[in-house]
Amino acid sequence: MKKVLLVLLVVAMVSSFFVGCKPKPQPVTLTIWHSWSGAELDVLNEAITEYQNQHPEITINQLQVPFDQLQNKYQTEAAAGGGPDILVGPADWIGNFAKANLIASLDSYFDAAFLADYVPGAIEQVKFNGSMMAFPESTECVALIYNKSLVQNLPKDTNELVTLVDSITQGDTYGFVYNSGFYFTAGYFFASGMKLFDSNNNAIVNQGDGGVKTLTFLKNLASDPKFIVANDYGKADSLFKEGKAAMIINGPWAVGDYVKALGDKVGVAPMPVFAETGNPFAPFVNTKDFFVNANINDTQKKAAADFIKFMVSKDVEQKFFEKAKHIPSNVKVDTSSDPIIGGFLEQMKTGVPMPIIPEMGAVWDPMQTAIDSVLASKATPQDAINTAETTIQDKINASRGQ
Amino acid sequence: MIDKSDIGMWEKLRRHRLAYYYILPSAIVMALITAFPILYQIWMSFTNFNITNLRNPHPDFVGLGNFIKIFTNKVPLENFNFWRIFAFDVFWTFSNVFLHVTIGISLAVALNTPRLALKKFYRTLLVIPWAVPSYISALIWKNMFDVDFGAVNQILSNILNMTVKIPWLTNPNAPIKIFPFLSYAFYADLITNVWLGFPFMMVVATGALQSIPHEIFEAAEIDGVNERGKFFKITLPLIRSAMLPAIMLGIVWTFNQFNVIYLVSGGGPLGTTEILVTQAYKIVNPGGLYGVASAFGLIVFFILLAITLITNRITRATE
Repeated sequence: MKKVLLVLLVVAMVSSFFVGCKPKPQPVTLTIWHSWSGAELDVLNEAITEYQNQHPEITINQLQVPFDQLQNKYQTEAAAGGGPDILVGPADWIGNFAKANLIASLDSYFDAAFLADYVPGAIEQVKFNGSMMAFPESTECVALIYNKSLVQNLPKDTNELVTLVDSITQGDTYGFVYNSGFYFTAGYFFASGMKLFDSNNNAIVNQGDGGVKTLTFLKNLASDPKFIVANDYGKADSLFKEGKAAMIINGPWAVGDYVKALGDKVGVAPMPVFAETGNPFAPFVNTKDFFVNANINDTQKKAAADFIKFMVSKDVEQKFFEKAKHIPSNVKVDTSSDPIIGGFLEQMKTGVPMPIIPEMGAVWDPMQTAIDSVLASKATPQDAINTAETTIQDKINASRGQ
Repeated sequence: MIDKSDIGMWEKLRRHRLAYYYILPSAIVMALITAFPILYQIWMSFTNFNITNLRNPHPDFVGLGNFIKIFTNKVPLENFNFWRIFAFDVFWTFSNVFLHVTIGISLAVALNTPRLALKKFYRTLLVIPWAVPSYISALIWKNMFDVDFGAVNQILSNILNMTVKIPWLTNPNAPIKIFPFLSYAFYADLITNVWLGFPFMMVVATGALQSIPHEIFEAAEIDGVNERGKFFKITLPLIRSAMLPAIMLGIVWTFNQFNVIYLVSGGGPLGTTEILVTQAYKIVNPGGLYGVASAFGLIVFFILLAITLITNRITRATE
């Protein structure tokens, strides 16, 4: 008995010498900022829990920031030397962030074999001056989202759309809650031939009559009492979920919640063709990406890149696809069974890639002001588009230090 | 001859050395967190400081360029017009304070009626707007002003028995033609801020009213003064000295009323309800023009300095 005890004791003592030898992983904390909500947020939280179970030394904190504040919040914090390790945002932020040196190049973390599994167009979009500045999680564009119990035959062009909406709107049910935000309605600006930049990245939005045509079209919609035309995402969103809006314009990120609210009544299709020119709706096609903060050290960057690899793996993207209807950037995700995704993919065929140059940041607010001032009868379409052009160019000049 | 009170500065410092040691720690903290940022901002206002300079603080010196840009409305931002914003801010301030004071004093006088039933209950009820954090009230009002689903339009619809769709926050045009520069949103902001602001004036007026001895009113009654005469000849002159500082305070507060403007109308639609402080905020966020924003901040400072100096003169004149 004594001998057994002695042997046990010796074994215990000897083995204790080796405790320090096994490489013990250093604890790492990663912070991620995003604007995901609803079903997307659920998937993110599931993924984080799973990743932490696989890697007990890693803690991941996520913070949800409203989308309209996320870019400025990150820009201010990162420019001052802080900010999260990982940011989730659209590709058009790349230009400004890269120029201000706020995001890290990811070239060294993803090799060609890894990238082979991803949609080439998505990988191409996140390249700035030849470097990969973000990693695409999903691709997105806006399309027509409709309630099948209210819309039987889809309108082919904008003239049919007006007739259809006039017949649906009754009481507190609206045929179309039209989001007049520039991002949502840009497809008709491009359908009428408007261009944003020339080859030197200077603004040319008032060249040709594309801008005027679309602004006139929007004004006609707004003067029809059967349409709600408002730059109000929340209103369109909640009316559609309540089944009070037959049609809205929105992107794949919202569809997960709509399916939860309305089940299989939700349909997605390309927006009607712009009747005046006969061209299809040409929305911005964009990727939603993971950015890595330029301020963090190499160990943190490595950990962030590893987490991003997990987030864009087949399994996690499959969940994002099934629950939140994200259109995956990973080609291995099985999307065959879903007609909703089909609607967005159909719409993407006529889309235009979102420019990621820094100058893009100057476009949004002036174009929105042009739309708002025409809808409010404060300016004629021609004056509004001229003012927009001047303001965009002033902003571009200011950001170039001129 | 050197007078004893005329001793040199170093001599004074030497005599009170201990006192300076005592304030040294807080003086250092103040220098770091107050004086340094102010001086830094003054320096920034003469440069083209932008987002890339936050980590690399070597912007170019542009002299008075930022100030000239502001005064000539050349700031690259939508709907920027310094003079319109300034005029609007002044109008906003005086219309608000006028309503705050008249409503506040009227209610205070009404509640000061002797032997009024439930007086304490009414007073509590009327002070509630002041007790709720103003950003919460502002957000609630913003939702109440929604054109299709807001409570304001729905209540008006019920009262008038017809569909009322006043575009409170979306239409930049003027509903009242004699004020062509005031959009619907101005009235929405005004209603919100009057609701928020009158309780303060009421509380001040109530305090002042209670210090007026009843004998004065009784004497006036014996002399045959009617109610109107009592109000204008006794009440108003006697609460004047208490109301003036409160009004001056109200002017400065309203001039910089960021919460209501930013949360209810957001300065919109099309910049028609922008006041100086909300515009200053937008120059930085989303504008990213730190240099211009610093210059703008300095201009606002000098405007407020002028208001304060005028204020001081008026209040001193009443002493």
